[in-house]
Amino acid sequence: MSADVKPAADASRFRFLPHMDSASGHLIWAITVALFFLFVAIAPGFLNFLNINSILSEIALFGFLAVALTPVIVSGNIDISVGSVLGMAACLSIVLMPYGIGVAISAALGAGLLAGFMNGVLVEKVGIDSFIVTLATMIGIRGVTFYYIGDRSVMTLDPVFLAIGNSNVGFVPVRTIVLAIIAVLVAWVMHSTSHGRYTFAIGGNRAAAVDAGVRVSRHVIANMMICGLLAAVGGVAMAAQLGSVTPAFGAQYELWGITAVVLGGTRLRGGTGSILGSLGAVATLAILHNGMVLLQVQSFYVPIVIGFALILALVLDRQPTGIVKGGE
Amino acid sequence: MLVIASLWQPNILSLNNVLLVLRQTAVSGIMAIGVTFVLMAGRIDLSIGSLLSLCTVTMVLLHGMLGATQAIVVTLCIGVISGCATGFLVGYMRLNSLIATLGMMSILQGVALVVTGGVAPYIMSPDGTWFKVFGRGYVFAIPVPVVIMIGLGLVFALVLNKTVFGRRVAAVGGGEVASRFSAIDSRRIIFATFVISGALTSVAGVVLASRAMMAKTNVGSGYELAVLAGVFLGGTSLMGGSGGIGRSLVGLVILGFLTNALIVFGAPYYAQWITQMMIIIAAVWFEVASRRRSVFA
Amino acid sequence: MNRRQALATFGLVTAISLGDTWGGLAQDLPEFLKGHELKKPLNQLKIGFSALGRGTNSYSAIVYDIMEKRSEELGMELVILDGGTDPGVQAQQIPTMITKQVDVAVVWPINSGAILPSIKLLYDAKIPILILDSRIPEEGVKYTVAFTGADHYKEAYNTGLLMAKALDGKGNLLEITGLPGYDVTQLRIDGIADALKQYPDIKLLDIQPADWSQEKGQTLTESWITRFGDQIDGIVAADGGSGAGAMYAVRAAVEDGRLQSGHIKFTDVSLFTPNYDAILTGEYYGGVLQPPQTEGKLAFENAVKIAEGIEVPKEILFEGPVLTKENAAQYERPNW
Repeated sequence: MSADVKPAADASRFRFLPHMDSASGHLIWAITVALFFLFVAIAPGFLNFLNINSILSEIALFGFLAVALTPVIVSGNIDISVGSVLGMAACLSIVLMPYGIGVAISAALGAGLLAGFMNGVLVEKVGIDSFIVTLATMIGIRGVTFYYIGDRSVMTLDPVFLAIGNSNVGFVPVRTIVLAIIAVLVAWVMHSTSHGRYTFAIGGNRAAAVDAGVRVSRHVIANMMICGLLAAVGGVAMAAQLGSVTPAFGAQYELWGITAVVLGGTRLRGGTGSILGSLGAVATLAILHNGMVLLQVQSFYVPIVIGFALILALVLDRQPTGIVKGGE
Repeated sequence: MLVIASLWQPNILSLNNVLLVLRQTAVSGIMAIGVTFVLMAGRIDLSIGSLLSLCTVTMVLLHGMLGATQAIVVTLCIGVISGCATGFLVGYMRLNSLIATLGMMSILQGVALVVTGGVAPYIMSPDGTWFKVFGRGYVFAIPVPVVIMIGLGLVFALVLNKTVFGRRVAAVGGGEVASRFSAIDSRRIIFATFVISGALTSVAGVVLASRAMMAKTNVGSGYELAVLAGVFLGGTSLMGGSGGIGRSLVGLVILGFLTNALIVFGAPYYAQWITQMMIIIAAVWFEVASRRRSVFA
Repeated sequence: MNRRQALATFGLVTAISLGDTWGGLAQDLPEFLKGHELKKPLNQLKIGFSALGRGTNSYSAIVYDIMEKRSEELGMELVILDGGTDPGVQAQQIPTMITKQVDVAVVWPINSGAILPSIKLLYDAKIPILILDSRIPEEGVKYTVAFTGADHYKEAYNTGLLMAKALDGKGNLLEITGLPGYDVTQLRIDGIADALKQYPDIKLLDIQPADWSQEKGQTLTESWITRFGDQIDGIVAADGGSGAGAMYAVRAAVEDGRLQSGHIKFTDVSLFTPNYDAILTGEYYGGVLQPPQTEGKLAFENAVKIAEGIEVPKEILFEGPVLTKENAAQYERPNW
């Protein structure tokens, strides 16, 4: 993946309040707001309390994955196993509930961390490209989940767990608040810690980072672990809402996670990006989807609309010059 | 860097079984030929699964309406058109191929659903049509899909390795800066690779339609990752510039034999997935390690 | 419905109400509502429909079509919420029914356990609920008005019995199951298993999923033939699609001479077009016919009744008929 030179010195520019590196970070929120008002105008019931709650709920569905993936992608890698990790965590948290809610959740999160670690090691120590590694682990983790859970649905009725997943503060679901808190935390890490700065540097120009003495492997693995952990959090959150999942849960979610991250301005080649942008994209997609349902757009047309929206977003976001920026 | 899997159950090595597995992997194999071109140019194509759905569905639907020959022509056109669209987006508009083809994937699947209304079309009287030869016929005891796969594989391998075009594709993938200095129009090359991918996927759709004589509206779902898994297993690199058709086909066939062997051994389905993961990692590790001459990075 | 349809409906409604005012038209009640008092005029009803994805397979597509067609005929508004195959998406869409203030909610759960919080939500919003196709756990039933659908377990059980009959109580059997991780899949596995328990001489050689896909069923069976060859006496499939695939695989092997013609018996839990045709020719032993039209009809009619406050039975089950060569011709050929 060819990249332009971005010296590590640049990293000092980044501060906590996201100094948006790419204009797309701003752009996506502008789109979010625009879409919001569009639907208020044309879709009856959009501004309804329950509907807003519904949109925020959908944000929590993919938001965790988008936040999880952003650091990984900023560092120049990718993780398509997040869907499987989310499913695994969701199943684990439910199936282990009889041992106590603390045990169940910890086990699920631990599994996510472990998966991230495995991905990270394979990428850094074995040296295989992250797409291939996570393609393989995506398949394998799904297999392990089916092996452990079997061919059935798992369910829990634990009231505390379900309460976490289903209660609201005002019109905001608790899960979305958790997502917001985590997003702020990750953003802080990305912009105010050395780990975050190095992540940007590694993504910008890995060779330069290595030359500058950065312990690249350590940071990449750390990001992979964060990714696995947050994907697991997403899984637990969904399990808490639904109370029942199957081992097939979460399949294809990774695609939407990646879509959101890229729409939000983070470049797949790494080096730039923002959590805020990723969240904005998740919000946009959630609003778009919700609006289409309210307008009763026939379900077959929804993927077509979303596909076009995705491509349109890419077109709008293109670098104006003719320099190769759009490639892998 | 070919990974050779060892098979030891007697029936597995029987000619019948080998031909069987080859026939089963033919559809993915044909698609893999196209995808290899795209990867060699440093891009990726995730839309092939949905395109397969659309082409297979079109083939079946139009078979009833226009007759086999015309239906095949239309289906191939759809593949080419889709390839042109994607190629335009990635080649000329320079959009990121992962996301752009992801978008195409959504669009194409949506179109397949709209066109069928969600109801799977069937070909009436499957034995009465010459069309069945693609999926079910034999040429000197070799199943037709396999012949098509190998035939196309040879042709396109020649294109990739022996023609100027092919070398340019590898150059574009290997390092765009260098290729730009030698005045290769990378935009056109990339565009062409996507057209090839689309066209070959449509051929795969014709074969699939012939084999099944019907088309579930989302039949292609999941194929993109399965094909990619096989291609990576075969050693084609995501970086572009290295790889080959033969190796991609071998990678897919290995995965095919793996699945076959596991079923024949009676392993449960999840074992297939776990084993796939391990084999892919092992194979690519081997490939990568030998290239840099060290086990660990 | 889209704007044009809404406009047409509006025009129709206006015409009818004008007609009423002039003492002209009396709105004719459809058959299933005859003799009942209507709480609300039919054309003012709003029905919510949250279901498994329309694009999942032909079966669900037909159910959607029926719901749409019939509500359109009677001038009602149908709010469609397509959840794909994702229980998370379905849960997130259900509040839209409340936003739109539907008179009745028809819910086809993608995951019967996961739908519980949504059921409670609808109940608290005072919307009556009709569950379709997939039963929900005991805890949730009290919030619903009724359940209608095919009895998957019973149908699978009958299929198991049918296979036992085909094999004369003994033989080697292979089982093809549906998409792993879904309730219907599990119910069908259980149904067949329980039926076969009574036949200890029937040996289950292997059981593998084919994800409701004909292609996968074909591939799977081809591998089975390699492994078991002529030991196979029967193949039972969870759905007609994979069953048809199995049939094609065996057919090819017979043509090659590797298998004896007519030896293997096939049955499945839900017949599709090719299976039906094969029953008539004798290549397929039999199976259960589960027409989505029946499910759609029951869903629609009972939903309307519930919306109108008419009492319906708590459980409205239908069991598809078991078809064999003897009786298949009496039933309409499936077009799915």
